[in-house]
Amino acid sequence: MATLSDKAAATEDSPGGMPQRSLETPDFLLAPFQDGDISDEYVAWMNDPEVVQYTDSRYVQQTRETIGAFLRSFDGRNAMIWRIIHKPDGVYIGNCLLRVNWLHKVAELGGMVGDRRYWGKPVIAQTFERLIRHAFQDLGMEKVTGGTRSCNYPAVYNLHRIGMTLEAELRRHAVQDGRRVDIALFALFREDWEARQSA
Amino acid sequence: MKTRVIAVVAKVMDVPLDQLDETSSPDSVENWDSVKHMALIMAMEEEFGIQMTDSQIIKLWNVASICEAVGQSLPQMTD
Repeated sequence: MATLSDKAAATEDSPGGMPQRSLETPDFLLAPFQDGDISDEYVAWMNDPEVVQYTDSRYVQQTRETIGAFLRSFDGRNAMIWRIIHKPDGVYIGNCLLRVNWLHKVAELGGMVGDRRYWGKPVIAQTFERLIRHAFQDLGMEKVTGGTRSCNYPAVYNLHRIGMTLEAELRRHAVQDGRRVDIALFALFREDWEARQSA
Repeated sequence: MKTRVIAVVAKVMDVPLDQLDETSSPDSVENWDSVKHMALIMAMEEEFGIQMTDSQIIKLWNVASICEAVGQSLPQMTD
């Protein structure tokens, strides 16, 4: 259980008040969400059964209101979400996010590519690698985690691709298309990431 | 079995056999993207007449791990 002194220390260690900033990869700009960024295509993606097939969003009709409520859960400090924009053509293609536990210095990443024209391209690999660097270098995290349903093979591929290792399987933890499926939890520790950078 | 696994990898990834070994993975084989990774899983299942579980598939990342999963899935050999 966290004590009050733990919480105080965590606050001192964390860059409190530091605004969430834009990030870049070779091909993508990661832009913090602004008011009015709930575009028609974003609403359409969230109602596309293939885009949301491995999330619980599929069970709810998504509207600007439901998406707005979701976005309001990101405060820019403990939870951050970015729009992924393909730099060469300026197209908004998906979102990526980090949820930060300042107390334990662990961040969880997530993301989705809504624009199907960009499926099969290294969008998630590039953006996740950037989020991981942000988490370790700028936010001072010691561990970054990611997870997905075990039957979501492209997501599993991406988590391996960015250097994460399988840490645990939660057996029969979710329902997918009428069958119980496992959740695969991946993680990357700071020292392993640093070793990978210098390799 | 390793030779057969490597032959399937070479075919799916369109790379010469002599460029592959047990350590080969998407980290070392340029063509090994997420789409080909899915194709590789299906090709392995077809080649060996097996069906791998999700728990096995999520551990596949290089030739050695594929060999291990295929070995687990094959019927136990008896004398």
